[in-house]
Amino acid sequence: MMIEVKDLWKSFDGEPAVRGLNLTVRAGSVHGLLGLNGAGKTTTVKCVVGLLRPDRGHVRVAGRSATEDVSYKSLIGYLPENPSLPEYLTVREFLVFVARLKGLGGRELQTSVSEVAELFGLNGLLDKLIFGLSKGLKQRVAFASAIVNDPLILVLDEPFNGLDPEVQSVAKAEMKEISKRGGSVLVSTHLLDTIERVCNSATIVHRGKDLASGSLEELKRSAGLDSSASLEEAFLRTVSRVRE
Amino acid sequence: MRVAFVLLRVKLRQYLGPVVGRPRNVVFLFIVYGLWLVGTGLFSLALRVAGVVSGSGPAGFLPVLTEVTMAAVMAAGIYLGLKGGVTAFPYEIDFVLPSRVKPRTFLVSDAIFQFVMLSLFVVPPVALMIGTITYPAHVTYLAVAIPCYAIAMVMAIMLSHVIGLSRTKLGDRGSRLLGWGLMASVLMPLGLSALGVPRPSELSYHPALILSHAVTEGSTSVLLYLLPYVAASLAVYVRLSGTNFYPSVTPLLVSALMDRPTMITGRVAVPAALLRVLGLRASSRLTGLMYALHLTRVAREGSLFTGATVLVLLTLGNIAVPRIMGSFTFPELAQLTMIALYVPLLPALLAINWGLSERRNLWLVKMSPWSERPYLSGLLLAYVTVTLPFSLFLYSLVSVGVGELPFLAVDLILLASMSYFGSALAVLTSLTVRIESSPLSLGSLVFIVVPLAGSALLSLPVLVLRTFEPLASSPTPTVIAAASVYVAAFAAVVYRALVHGGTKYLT
Ligand SMILES: Nc1ncnc2c1ncn2[C@@H]1O[C@H](COP(=O)(O)OP(=O)(O)OP(=O)(O)O)[C@@H](O)[C@H]1O
Ligand SMILES: [Mg+2]
Repeated sequence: MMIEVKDLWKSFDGEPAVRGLNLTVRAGSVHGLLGLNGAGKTTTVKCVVGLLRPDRGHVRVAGRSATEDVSYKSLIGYLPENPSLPEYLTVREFLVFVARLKGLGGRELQTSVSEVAELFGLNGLLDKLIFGLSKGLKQRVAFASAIVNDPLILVLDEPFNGLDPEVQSVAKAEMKEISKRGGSVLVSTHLLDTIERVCNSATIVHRGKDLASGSLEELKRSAGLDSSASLEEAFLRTVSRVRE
Repeated sequence: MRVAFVLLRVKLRQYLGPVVGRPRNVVFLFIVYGLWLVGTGLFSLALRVAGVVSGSGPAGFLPVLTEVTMAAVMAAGIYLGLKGGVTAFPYEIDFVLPSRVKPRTFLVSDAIFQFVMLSLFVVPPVALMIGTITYPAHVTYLAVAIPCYAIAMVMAIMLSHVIGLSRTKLGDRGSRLLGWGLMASVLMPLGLSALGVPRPSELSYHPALILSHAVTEGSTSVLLYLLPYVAASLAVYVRLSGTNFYPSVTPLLVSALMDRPTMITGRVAVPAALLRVLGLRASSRLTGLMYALHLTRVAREGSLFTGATVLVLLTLGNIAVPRIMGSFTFPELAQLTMIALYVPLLPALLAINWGLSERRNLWLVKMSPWSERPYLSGLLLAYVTVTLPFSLFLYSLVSVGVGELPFLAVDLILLASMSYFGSALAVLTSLTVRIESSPLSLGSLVFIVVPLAGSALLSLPVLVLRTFEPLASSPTPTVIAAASVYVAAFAAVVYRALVHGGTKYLT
């Protein structure tokens, strides 16, 4: 198991945002996290990457407890929902900074930085300050920094925000590539047709709980649909059932 | 007009930010504001005592006090003008400016907002100071002083708006030129005194001096001389207020202490040689990486420039004041030591900007598998690296005027101590206090009060040593060693506490 979340609870000011959520992401999979606005996806993701401390439950990443042992952080790449970047750095300085934080150095660092810059079409911008970049370009820089350390586990929160179609397809290819190499990707997004194309499995989160989980086929079946139905139909049906 | 008040209400709410509806924050704000008043109160009591001791009478300080504060109020307005003049929060840029609200309406609401903001910062402490040094005649003086300060604030706001709006007519460069020109003329009397040049008699028609004169003489008739200034600025103001200035409005209330990176500052990089000297090669150690990050940040985002400007202006006052008063009331050599007392303002301003612009980037650091201590040690080291040399620079600047350096050894220890403890307390404040709405909000007073007062407290033994003659001017090696050991030992304790205990506040 790459990511294992069991009975996760997290409240803000006494208001529970996540209540008893379970989540499993296997090696070699791209796993989607679906849910309505405010369902608790971002909160869950932050607990997984160690930015939030769970109130209860346990989170294991790459076999290590996320609350006790932080060494797993060198294995993961993370793209937050609204990434805030040090805008006074140039794109190159920023990518080098993140790579160093992840423990890279020397020649390896230089090649990784040029590889991700190439991949995300940042080559002409390397010496520009992040300050003046457009929203989508900033998102590209943030995405590039998330994979600069060749992560075993990639955690993405709304990664396609502002990305143009060309870079979206690069990003999707990268997600598949990581799973092919035996790593895994956890992606939270509202773009259900994207999930349908890149994910092998998904979890539907509703009001802080996992409502359904499994391969896309299984999700459709448990919603009472056959495999020709779209994920969108399955999602809407699953969520509306609890409402009643 | 109705619309202007609606805008104002929302803006004040955002400005007061997290205070509304949260009792803990209200209490906190009251305490901070109280400390601000206690500080100015103590300062004026000290002036009063000094006046009694020197025999010049406490009211002898009134002309200097009013002159400096009047100039400061106007300089603050000009500074805002240089930053764009019209204050705005990001939400106003996104939602108000694209709406049907007319530029003039927005301007009116902003003028009232600036008046409220300035009054909060200026009127109570100034009234307290004037009241203290003129007691028991305080009622007569305050009756004139408060309207005079109100006039100064109105002029400051007009200056701020005129300079900001002049961008639409003069362009960025022209407006900056206008702003710095006005800044120079407002500070000219102080500048001349600092240089030791006698003031020409025409200078008494300088608006800050007219106002100061009105307060000290208790006469409102001199205010008539202000009419030309007010009329001229009003005419320009009314003309400019009809232009559509919306395109040049910036989120000033968030970025007031910063600057957009320019051709020059955008290229500043930390020289590898500096890192090597400090044993912090960026490639090998995390502290070096963090140190370089923070130095690059303060240089490129302009908070260093702002802090340096403030310190230089204070030093101008520091040199000018004893000369205006004549050295009999003010031991001239004290000005060297004075520098140490306000030097912690530099890390304080840097810390405000850290809270506003850099705290949100902490996720990057928290994603690394290493300890977060290097982040804090790098931050502290970066603050000390800019503060200490800058304080030495100011010290040498002032020493040229003084001509001799009788307290050199003690002063240097004091500067080092104040720079270091000021930096440490600035880091501590920014870790524990969240600044959410604006660097110009009342809450940010705590960022100023804590490093200034705290570092003076921690340096108290050295400060006391400085007042003991002849030990201060010719300290024995033992005394120097003892003072240095004291500072070093305390510095080590503070370092440990801050770097080890501070990581849990990095959220
Ligand atoms: N820092 C916070 N303080 C207070 N409440 C919070 C905080 N973060 C999240 N919440 C609350 O927790 C709940 C879950 O939020 P979360 O951000 O996890 O939702 P989400 O599933 O990511 O939604 P979206 O699709 O809109 O991104 C929401 O009700 C939100 O208001
Ligand atoms: Mg979210």
